[in-house]
Amino acid sequence: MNIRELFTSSAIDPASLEARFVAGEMPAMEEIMENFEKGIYQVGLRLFARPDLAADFCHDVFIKIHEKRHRFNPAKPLKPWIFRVAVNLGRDRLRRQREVPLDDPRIQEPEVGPQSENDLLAEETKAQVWKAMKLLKPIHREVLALRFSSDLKLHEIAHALNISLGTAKVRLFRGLKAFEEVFVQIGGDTNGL
Amino acid sequence: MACKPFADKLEAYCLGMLSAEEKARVQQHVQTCGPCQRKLALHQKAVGLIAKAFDQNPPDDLRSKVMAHLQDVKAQKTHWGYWAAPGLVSVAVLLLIIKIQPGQIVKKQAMEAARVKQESTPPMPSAPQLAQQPKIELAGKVKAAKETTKKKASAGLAETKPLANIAAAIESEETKDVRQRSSKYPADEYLFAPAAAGMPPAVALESGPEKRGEYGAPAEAGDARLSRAQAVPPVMLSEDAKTDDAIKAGGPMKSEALGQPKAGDNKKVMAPLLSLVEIKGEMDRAQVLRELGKLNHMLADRIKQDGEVKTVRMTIAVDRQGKIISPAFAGPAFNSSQLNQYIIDEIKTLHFDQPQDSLPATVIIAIEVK
Repeated sequence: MNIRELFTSSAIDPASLEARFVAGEMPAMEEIMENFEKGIYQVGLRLFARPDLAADFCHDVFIKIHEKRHRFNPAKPLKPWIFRVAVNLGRDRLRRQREVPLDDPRIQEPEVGPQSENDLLAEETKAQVWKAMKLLKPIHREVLALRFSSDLKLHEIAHALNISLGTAKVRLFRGLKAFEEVFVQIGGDTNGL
Repeated sequence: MACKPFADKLEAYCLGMLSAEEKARVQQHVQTCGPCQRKLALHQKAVGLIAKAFDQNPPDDLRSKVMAHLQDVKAQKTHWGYWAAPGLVSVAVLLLIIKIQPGQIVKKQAMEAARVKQESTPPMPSAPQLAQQPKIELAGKVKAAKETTKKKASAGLAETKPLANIAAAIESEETKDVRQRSSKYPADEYLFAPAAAGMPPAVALESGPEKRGEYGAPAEAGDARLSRAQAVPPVMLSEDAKTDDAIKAGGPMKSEALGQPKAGDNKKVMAPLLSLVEIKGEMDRAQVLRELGKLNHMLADRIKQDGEVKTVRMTIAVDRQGKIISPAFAGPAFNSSQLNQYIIDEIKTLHFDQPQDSLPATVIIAIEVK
């Protein structure tokens, strides 16, 4: 079915967000950004553990989905497709990053502004979590990023990653286990775990 | 052990992947099992940390920056035409079109004879031809292509030419080298006929390295960022280095004059229209084009034998050493599994140079048979 047929099909409501998005309407694009920018940004944070890279990534994901909107079938849900685009872009970026050793100073920590001793502990733990995530393998990083960033269901994660449900499940389990191991390895606060 | 059934369930419990019934069973078990209770607590804390540590909002100006970028692109498209818009993304997209009319063997002698007869009329795409294009956005592209073609003509640059003139134009040293290197087809017997008239001009974009992203993040090595870049006109597959220079100089748009079958011409060939859609990664485009030219030759006879009329798209993964590791169909393949396997085998015989950033790359092609 080509684009014209999709719009004339009774299955597609031309007033739906998906249809308006494919038609290139800017208000639809704004609405999509409102719905997904936080989730995509947090995917970026979990993938790159750097706010600047995450912001760039988020910006570029939305540019890309706008460019590729003609490839989207408006009869299908938008969310998994958007995250698939995000995953593909994230993979490209991760592939170009070199492996980072445990003690590499380039692993950026989040900005901290503690108010109290409790805040200090929390921020330090947060920094360790960022570091641990950065040290995970990309396939574990991306599956955890999808699960926690936008509360994607397992089948949505599988669709975004283009893998089976079973594989998605296994990757999530292994990702969680890998995170726990790395967190302890880098001296993460075990009380926090 | 009573714990065995729950070996996988503890992580799933913490990740919210269990049904209500399964959750209840896990809760019941951990009440009486110390080790599982400790493991569950460990997983829960890890999940909590991952969930909370990255719970941040994006920058306040993200949305406005994206919308401003999109508005800018839209405005540029309207004013200059699609491929001349500087605000387009820097994904390297080269749509190269070579089309040989089905049922027609284009031989050098025929081309020579055609050149004499076709001196006069440059075949511009007609409205009916344009209207038949499957994609909505092509109409705007082609209209803009006409305008740009006229502008380039006034600058004295080459533009849409008759079949014979284009044939002469592509009889370059590079083309001869391509054919001579092809072991399956004798040199000088077959030519790349010029691409079809009416085919839309493609957007070819430079994937130049961007120093910094929108939020100041420094570009990493080989990072093909989406950024504003100069769009360049498309090229003919056979033009190789010469056309590559033309691209860089913002050179002419080579067309796309369809070799229409003529009355009395009984020689037939069904050859594919091979398009280079995109290169993901840093590769020598001219070299990729030369290699794909061989593929076009190889497919010509085989497509003729099978008689399939279809368009397929393929991705060719290239490893760090330039070795082709997994050619695959991106979507439906040809109906004939033998033809599909033949194409994959032939692609594997191609040789791409090592990607310039020593990272894996992907070449995406479209094979259209009409």
